[in-house]
Amino acid sequence: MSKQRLLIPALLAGLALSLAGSPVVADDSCTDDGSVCVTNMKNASFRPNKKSTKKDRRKRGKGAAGTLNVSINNGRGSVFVNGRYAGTAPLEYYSIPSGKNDIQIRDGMIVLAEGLLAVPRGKTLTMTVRHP
Amino acid sequence: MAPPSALVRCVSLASAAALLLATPVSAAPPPVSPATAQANRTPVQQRSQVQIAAGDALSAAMELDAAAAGSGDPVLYLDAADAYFAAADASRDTSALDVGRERVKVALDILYFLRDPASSDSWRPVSSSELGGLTSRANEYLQRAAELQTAIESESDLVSAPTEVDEPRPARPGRVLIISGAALTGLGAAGLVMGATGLIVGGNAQREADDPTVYGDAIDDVDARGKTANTLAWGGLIGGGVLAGAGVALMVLGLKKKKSAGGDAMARVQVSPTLGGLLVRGRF
Repeated sequence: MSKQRLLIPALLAGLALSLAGSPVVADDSCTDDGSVCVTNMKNASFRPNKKSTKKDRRKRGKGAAGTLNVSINNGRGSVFVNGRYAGTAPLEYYSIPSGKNDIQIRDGMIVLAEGLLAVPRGKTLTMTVRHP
Repeated sequence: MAPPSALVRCVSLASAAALLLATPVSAAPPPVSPATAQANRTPVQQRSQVQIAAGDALSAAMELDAAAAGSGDPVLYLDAADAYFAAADASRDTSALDVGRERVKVALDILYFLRDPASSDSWRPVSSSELGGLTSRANEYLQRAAELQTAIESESDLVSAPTEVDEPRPARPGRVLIISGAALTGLGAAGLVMGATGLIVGGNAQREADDPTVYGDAIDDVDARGKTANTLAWGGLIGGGVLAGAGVALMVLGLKKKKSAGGDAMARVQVSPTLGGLLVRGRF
């Protein structure tokens, strides 16, 4: 009984300490070459040079749409989502279906980034691309 | 009456269904074909032509730009760029040129993407046969933008360049001497006036001092005033006299110089033959 009485306060104290002590940092998750970085959150990812499958497209948009922001460092480019023009960087508050989306970012003939972007339901993702 | 567990299950299912219905689900965007894109762009193009004809290329450019951004139509982006260039040409301002150039680059992004297998078959704002011509048009626009920028910048360089040195004004002999002399004469005259004032004040002070009814401290005041007046008189008369004299001398020299220069120009001696011999005429 005494152990149970101590357990809850200990848990609460630990939670309070962890919240107070460690700053909340949304680390970006970047590709191996560092050319593309995406907000690090659960169920969010960018897989370069991957394309969506039929299953991915069937599941796409089932939940609440997410929001996508795209910026390009040291250059310019346009963003294409699921085979269509989405806008020119810096792209802000673009409504993107949840699930796996085909993304391409290009500057004229040069493809800056291409791959599969997984968007959690109702979440906002920021994608940063480095222009070569 | 249904058992609680079944009721709870029903409520849960109903809640889930309601939640699913309430949650926004991304619907597939409508397909775009070259025909539908043409139908959407024609009214915008017609309105912009009217605006350009009326001399408002910038408004036309902005309307085309907004329509292009909403549809991703590369033709509208090129039309917008064309209108921005026209506005830059009219205003001779490179800022509209920069915007136009960026619109051309966006058009090129889209045109190259439409060649890419990643582009969707349900999104075709232009046909494949048009891609080559539109790409060439875009590249021509970039060339045109570069030429227009060079032309505008060279004009602004000419405007800001220092003006050519004017031919030196013809010398006016004696002008400096005359002006200096006039200034000195003026100062001398002021000094002389000051000296005259000093004499008058000094004279008055002397009369007061001679008055037997003035004595004690009053005499000291009169004495002080008299001394000040004397100083003014001496300084004004001597200083004023010297300055005035110098000023007059400079003016005279300046006038002589001016006269001699003018006299040389004016002096003419004419020798002309006559039936009886030679006729000599002159001005000095």
